[in-house]
Amino acid sequence: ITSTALFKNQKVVIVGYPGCFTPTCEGIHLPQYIQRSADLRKTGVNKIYALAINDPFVTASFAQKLNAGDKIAFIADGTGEFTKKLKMETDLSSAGLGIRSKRYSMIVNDNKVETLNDEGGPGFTNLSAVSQILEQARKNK
Amino acid sequence: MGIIKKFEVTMFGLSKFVSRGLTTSLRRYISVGESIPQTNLTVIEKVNGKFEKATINSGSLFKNQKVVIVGYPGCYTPTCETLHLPQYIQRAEDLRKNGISKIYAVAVNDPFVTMAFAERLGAEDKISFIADGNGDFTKKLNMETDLSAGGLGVRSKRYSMIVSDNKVETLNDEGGPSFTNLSAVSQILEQSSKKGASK
Repeated sequence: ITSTALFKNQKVVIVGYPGCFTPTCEGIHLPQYIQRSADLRKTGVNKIYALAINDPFVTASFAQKLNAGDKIAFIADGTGEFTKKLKMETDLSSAGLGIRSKRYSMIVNDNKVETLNDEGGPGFTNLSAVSQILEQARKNK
Repeated sequence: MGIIKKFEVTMFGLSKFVSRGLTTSLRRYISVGESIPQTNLTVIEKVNGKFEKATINSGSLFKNQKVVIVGYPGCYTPTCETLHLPQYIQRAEDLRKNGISKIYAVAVNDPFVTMAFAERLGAEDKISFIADGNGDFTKKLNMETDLSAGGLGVRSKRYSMIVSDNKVETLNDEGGPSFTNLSAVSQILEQSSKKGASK
């Protein structure tokens, strides 16, 4: 699907994360978004997309493991093309991960970035937590 | 002045042509008889009931023993998960009887994905995994293939090899991601039993 077809005429949240099956992404970051997805919908967010530089096979298995169901959707940016276009890549070669997405969250409204919370790297703080995005989504409702 | 410049340009062009030709001819895949290039490898294997990750130098991993290395395109991809690797897990014991001390499955995947995949396969301690996350080892062997069209990026070709005391004894190279009898465990079992018989 082209990005414009996906993002136009609606409000979505995009969550960038370093990698499927990595401890923080699997244990804390993404589960938060799965748990609060209904609350995000109440603020007018139509869809939540979790995005990482992983191939479709790994991503599908990860989504299953997380029991994401239909609560959040996943973008498998296998070659990193989308992440690089957003200039949100970071080099995690020292951890054997290669080029990956930084951790971030954003609200995209009719294909335009409305809000961006950029961790600047793989770290996880309140900045990219679901609580932050919930608050921002409520303000902009 | 003009003639010298022309000569320099010509020599420069010629040297570039020669060096490119040399590079092309040097850039061939790892072959039988060659040593495995020294690399630090991220090895994932089950130790005391738990999958552990360790960085080990290839030289110390492969010397003084006979191992099988299985290259595969990717964790969680259909063929790798349901056909190719399960075969090696199932026949691991038979390979050991042929004098193979260890089996290493290597793919260009990070350690986290590889560990989760090893669990999912139920590999237990039958085979070990090398997580070639940045593709360094695969590129040193010149066994990489571009699977960007499938959203996978640069990956390992599918292959199997017997490495004896760090030297490649046998190589079965599929040349790409496909799976045929060439990289199947049956082939390597036959090759390793022949060698065992000729000991």
